[in-house]
Amino acid sequence: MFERKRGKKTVGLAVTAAAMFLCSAVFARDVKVMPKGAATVESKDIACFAEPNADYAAVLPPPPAFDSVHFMYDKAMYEVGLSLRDTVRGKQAVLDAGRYYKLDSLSKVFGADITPENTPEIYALLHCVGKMISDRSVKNVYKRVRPYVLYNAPTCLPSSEKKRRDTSSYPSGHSTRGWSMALILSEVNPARKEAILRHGYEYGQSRVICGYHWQSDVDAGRLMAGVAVAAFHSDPDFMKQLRKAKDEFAELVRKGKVRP
Amino acid sequence: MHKSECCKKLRSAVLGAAALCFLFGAAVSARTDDVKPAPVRTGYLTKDKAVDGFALLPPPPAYDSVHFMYDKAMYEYGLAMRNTERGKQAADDVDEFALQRHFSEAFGMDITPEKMPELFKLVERANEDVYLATVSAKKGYNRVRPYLLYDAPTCFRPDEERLRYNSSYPSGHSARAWGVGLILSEINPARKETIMRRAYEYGQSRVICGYHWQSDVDAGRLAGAAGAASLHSNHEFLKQLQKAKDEFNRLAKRANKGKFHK
Repeated sequence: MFERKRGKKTVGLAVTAAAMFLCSAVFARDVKVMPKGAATVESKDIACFAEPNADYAAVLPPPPAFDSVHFMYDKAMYEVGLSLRDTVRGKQAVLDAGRYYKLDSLSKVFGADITPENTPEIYALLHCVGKMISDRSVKNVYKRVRPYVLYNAPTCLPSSEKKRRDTSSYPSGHSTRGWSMALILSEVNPARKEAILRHGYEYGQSRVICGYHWQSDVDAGRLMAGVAVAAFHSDPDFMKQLRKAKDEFAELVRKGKVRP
Repeated sequence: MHKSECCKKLRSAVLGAAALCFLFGAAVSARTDDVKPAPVRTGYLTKDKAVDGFALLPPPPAYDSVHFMYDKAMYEYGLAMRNTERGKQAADDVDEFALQRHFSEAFGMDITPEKMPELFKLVERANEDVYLATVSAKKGYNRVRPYLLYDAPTCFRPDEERLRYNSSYPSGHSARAWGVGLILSEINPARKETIMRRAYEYGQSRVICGYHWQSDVDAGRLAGAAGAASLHSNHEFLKQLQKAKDEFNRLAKRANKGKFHK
């Protein structure tokens, strides 16, 4: 074979070069996708409170059966989602489909810019809530097939299709995180709670529009969020971070940096 | 036309209109007044600090939607459950002012004014606040309840009259139970799954009873979570919550001690 004649060293070098090229390609793509200045809840340096020790499967009902009216509703909502893909709402759903909560749209409803520089404590709070809610245990119980996999159809964000293909649809992790963050953030700025909660609600709906989740996955995700938020509230470390976030917000209000 | 005849006609018309107005007014006030002699209970939040459910919740399903088909299927499932143990539980769940009793088993302790006065008081008041999150949505959407649409009996007939003019969407019972359940879970995290499962089933009881559509109950849980969150920025509530936590920890410690000595 051609490679064998070249010897191990050359192959090694070639592999390294290829890996470097691939890495730089991936990196370049990431940079291109990320709009300039748009912060996401993602930082490896923040020390977080613990993951809540909760058995969500003990609370949630099972997903609808294939021959149920409930699943018929799921399918109808999939079609509503399809019809929305090419609209402004559909575009928002694509933005929401990234791994972490997008903070630019959340900042708008919150009334102040949530960035690591402007609001380090609120940022850390959201980052840790997003990071510390794990849906793995409950997903493993149900192993439901996702809509785009069942229909073998494209989603709103094809680049995530492969990695999610074999993961369970029920419940929706994005919806859990979205509703959890909204519930907690509504505690920090109660004056804007309806807008914040509505945003968290729509974040879950985006998953249906995208074809990544059934409506019942999203509904179950919101139930799971309630349990997770209650569990967080019995953790002193979480409460400490929440207090810091509330104090930080009070300071912003005092400085007139919060939009009415 | 003769003048006096004209006056007579005018007078009778005015009188008729006044009578109609009176009747209509009485009908309207009967509609809006809660028939039940509501006991005086006040929550921690003032109305302006409560969640505006109408701004938060999506509208209830349209009559010709698949979502409403699901609601109707769940109504029938509820009918099928009425004469079972689960149905009896649903009939026992009708008193939304007795959440302390409903949650005692799941919580693992009797929540009574004698044994747990601080927690009892907390639940009594918070119960009202999480309900507030449904009020504007109930008014805004004014949905008809299943037993009224079908003119059919519920699991507990004495409540039919008092709830006749109270909108179906979202379910107040479900909001109360889900919100209070979240607060109880915070106090006794070791039993949060049991507590929240009970809160979930408490909502389902409303579907089984024919008092609510499934989508009312689902929306009620969203409102309940929002209501519980809104309480967490109220100082008076937080103070009482801490008292309830201390009370619980004291009792739990004592109970554990007993176990070890045996």
